Formats: sequence, C-alpha cells, structure tokens
Amino acid sequence: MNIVENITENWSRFELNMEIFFLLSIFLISIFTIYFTTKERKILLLSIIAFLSSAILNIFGIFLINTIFDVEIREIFKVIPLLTTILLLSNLGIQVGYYISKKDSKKFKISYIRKEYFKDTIKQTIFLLLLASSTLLFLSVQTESVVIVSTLSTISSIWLSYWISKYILK
Amino acid sequence: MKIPKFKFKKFHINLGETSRYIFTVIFSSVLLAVVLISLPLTEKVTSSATYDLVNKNSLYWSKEYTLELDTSKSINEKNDIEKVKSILQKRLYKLGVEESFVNSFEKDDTQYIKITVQTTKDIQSVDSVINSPFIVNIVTRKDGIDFENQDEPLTPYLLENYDLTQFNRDSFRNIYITQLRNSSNEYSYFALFKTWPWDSKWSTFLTDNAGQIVGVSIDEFVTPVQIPTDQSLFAVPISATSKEEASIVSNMYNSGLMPMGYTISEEKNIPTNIAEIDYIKLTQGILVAVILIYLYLLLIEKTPKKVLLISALSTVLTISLWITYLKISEIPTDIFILALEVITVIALIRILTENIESRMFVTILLSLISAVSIIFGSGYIKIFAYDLLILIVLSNISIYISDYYITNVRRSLKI
Repeated sequence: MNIVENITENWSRFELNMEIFFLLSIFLISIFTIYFTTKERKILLLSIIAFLSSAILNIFGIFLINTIFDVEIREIFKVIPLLTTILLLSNLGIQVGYYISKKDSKKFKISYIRKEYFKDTIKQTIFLLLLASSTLLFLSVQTESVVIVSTLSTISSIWLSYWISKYILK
Repeated sequence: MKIPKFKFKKFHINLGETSRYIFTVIFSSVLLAVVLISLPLTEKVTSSATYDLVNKNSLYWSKEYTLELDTSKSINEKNDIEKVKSILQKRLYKLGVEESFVNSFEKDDTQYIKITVQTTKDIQSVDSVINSPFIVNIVTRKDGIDFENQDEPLTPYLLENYDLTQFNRDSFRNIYITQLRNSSNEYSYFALFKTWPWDSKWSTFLTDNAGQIVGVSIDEFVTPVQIPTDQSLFAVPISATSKEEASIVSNMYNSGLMPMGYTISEEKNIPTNIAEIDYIKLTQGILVAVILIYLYLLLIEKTPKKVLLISALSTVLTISLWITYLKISEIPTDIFILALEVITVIALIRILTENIESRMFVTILLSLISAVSIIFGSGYIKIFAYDLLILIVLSNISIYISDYYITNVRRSLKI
C-alpha cells in the first residue's frame, strides 16, 4: 500500500478516481471480451492472472524507477498501464485466436493451447526485448522508463501466466 | 469476379493480369514515396515542398499558479480543499491540458493550492479556468432597493443587493451552453439551467417568480435574468463570442460546485520539462531494430518467409504512412509519444500477421480499449489512444495491401 501511496502522492481525489475508473474499465472490457469470445473459464482465469500480475509489476516497476533510479514520475507514466495492456492483449489474443479456431476439432484438448502459447511467448519475448533495447539509446530517461517498465512487466506476466497455465490448462 | 480476356488478331490482353501489374507498379511507387517522405531530412532534398515533422516541444509552456484559499466559511476544511483540487483538475482535464499537478499546502495558518501546468493549449484558456472559482448562486432582488436608479448603474450587478436562494450549481443536473436569439434578434450564447425532471422545487421557484427579474451570481457578480411568464426556460446570457469561449464557460459551469473562494496569490512562468528526443537518431534506431528483428526471425526459421515479408512490409508501410501524414498535415507531434506508438505498432503488426485466427479478436479488443482511453483518459493517454486507434485501422489495411502486393510480385516474378 505504501508503494501505491508513494506513486499517487499529491494526486487529487478526482485524478485518483479517474485513473481507477479508467484502469478498471480497460480490465473489465478485456476480461469480458475474452470470456464472451471463448466461453472458457480456464482462459478467463489465466487472463485475469496475467492482468493482475502485470498491474502489480507496473506499480513495482514505477516504484523502483522512482526510488532506485531517482526518475521523476510525470504524466507520461500514466501510459504504462495502457501500453502494458496492449502488449499483453496481443499475447493473450494468440491464445484466444488459437482456441477459437481449434476448439471444434475432435482431437482438440485445452492443454494444446500451452504448446502454441509457449512458441509465441518465446518469439514475443525476444521481439519485445530487441525492440525495446534498440530504442533505448535514443529516448529520454522518462520515455525509456515507460518502455522498460511496460516491456518487462508484459514479458514477466506472460511467462508467469505460462507457468501457471501448467495447473490451469489441464 | 472473373475479368474478361480481350482477343485481338495478333495479341491477347488479360485485363486481370494487366490491372494487377498496374497495381504493383503504382504501389511500389507510392511505397517508395511515403518511405522517402517519412525519413528524416528528406525535405531538404527538394525546395518545391516543405514537409518536415513539426515538433510539439517548442509549443509547450509551463506556469505555476499559487491560490490562497478562503477557508473562513468552511466547516470541513480538509474535505473542501480536496474538492477544490478535484474541481480545478477536472477543468484542466476537460481543457485537454497535457500535464497538470495540483498540490495543497499550509503556510502561516493559511491554506494554499499550487497548480503546475505544462501544456500546448492556449494560455488564456488555462488562465480562465484557474483564475476564477466560478461560484454560482441563484439570487432574488432585495426589497427596498432601486434597481432602476440611473445614478447607481452598478446596483443590479452587486451581490449585496440580492438575497441568496436555496439554489446553487448543485441544484442543477446540467448547464447547457447554446446559441439563442437575443432581444436584438441576433444569435448569442446563453446558459440553460436544467434540473432533474422530478425536482419540483425549481419549477415552484420559477412559477413564484414568473415575469420577475432574478439574478445569477458568479463570484459575487450578478447577471440579472427575467423569468419568462410561461416559465419555459431559464436562460442566462454569457459573455462568450466564439465557440472556444463558450466551451470554456461550459467547462466552468459543469465542473462542480466550488466549496470556497480563492484568490491568485502568485503566478509565474517556469521552464518546461519535456522529454527531448532526437527524432533523426530515433528513426535510425528503429530502422536498424526492425531490420535486425526480422533478420533474426528469418534466421530462426520459426515463421514462414511470406508471413515475415508481409509483416515487415506492413510495418514499414504503416509507420511511413503515419509519419508522412503527420509531416504533410503539419500536425504538431510529441516525438516521445510517436516513439511509443511506433514500438506498439511494430509489436502489434507481427501478432496480427502471424496469427490470422487472432487478428479479428485483437483488432476489435484493442480498438475498444483505445476508444475507452480516448473517452476516460487524460493528457498524453488521450493523444496516444487517439493515434493508436488510427494506427490499428491503418495496420490492418496495410497488412491486406502488403499481402496482395507480395502475392502479385511473386506471381509476376514466378517465385
């Protein structure tokens, strides 16, 4: 709680309410769309875990950047949750798309998603790492921080959800 | 649809093949043109056109306002200060200010609010929404005061000559600003006070004062308003001559009831703090990154070559088209937001191209999220989300065009 208070220090009530409402809207829209597209509770659960872990990693990342690297938290940091959501949804979208296209085939098992997810997660991890690292030299400290926190939060949460999928997608 | 083949005596013309060939040539030319335009410094090659990217950095200004709060009538001081902060922030959000910080502090038993603004918006508009508390009250004329006295022309405008009623900004659902015909039969702006349909107190007030002159007090300055005999409309004339001014008045009316007054104790310009990015170096970096990433994907052979080619071409086409649009339309651009947009688009196009089954789902969901961010987001989020929505559409179009183009080229070259 101290971490959250540290980040939102000096925020007005309106600003805090707007931010919570905005982030909740994005989360609920994503979760409902995933559920209504797949009608599969296991994928829904995995998506919720991925979102929550990315949110925690976002907060932790911003806190670290602010305290350890002494980077001033400015308005641009509010883009981090949105950027993370976009990158995360692109990855979760692979699972959803694969599930929708294969669910009606006779030999399909929900555990097959893991295999597909693993392949794509490796590719996306390398892709994002290369992309983020290539731009770092040319960006300002604040924009660099946004890219680093968003990319690392996305990569960590997709691997975390992949690891947890071992217990859920069976 | 099958396109007919025309047969002449000596040669055949296959219209389908010919049109595909023409498309390939035109597309190649357009692609080359947009890539050249989007690259940095290419505008220096020709003197006949100017299309350099307009960097928004030079348009930013930053100011710090210190407000001294009048807490003398406040019962719950802490809560009221919080409310003042929220209302001011709401006004700045509605105005589309990129960065704003609102902090409160105490000094010598006096409460202050410090507002720091960094924006490209019109300085007068920002000043307007901060300088006035805009405390709205409906008032009625005091008995025994001569409002028609020519020697005291200010009498109708001073709050001391009126009695406060139970109605203030919170009594109304919405205050709608619109243009209506005035007494000179010309259009001017009015504020229409709208209540909840079930609220009978206001309609009783209008009935009781039908045909009478009452007043709307804003920060203790009263605007006299005559209630029509049919009590149909409570329209207050406002001092706005343009749409922008009317929008600011609407912003002030509809940002909430300010619980206390304040005065500006200090107003000073401060240096801007903008993320400086060299967009020439950034373009070079992104270009190298895209080449390296696609070379790597090609080498590991996990993705079919055609898919990789479509993905790479779509990426180049989307980014080039977007930067070309920004350059030609001379839209002032935040380079650091452009950098984030480019990174997002590169990652997005790879997913959309490689996973056809997910394309529809990812496109719809991300468009929805962008739309929500435009509606509920603020500052840079709004700018980023608005651009992203356009880029999502552009990416999908680019993928289809690139796919068609590569298929045609491969067919022409018989690969």
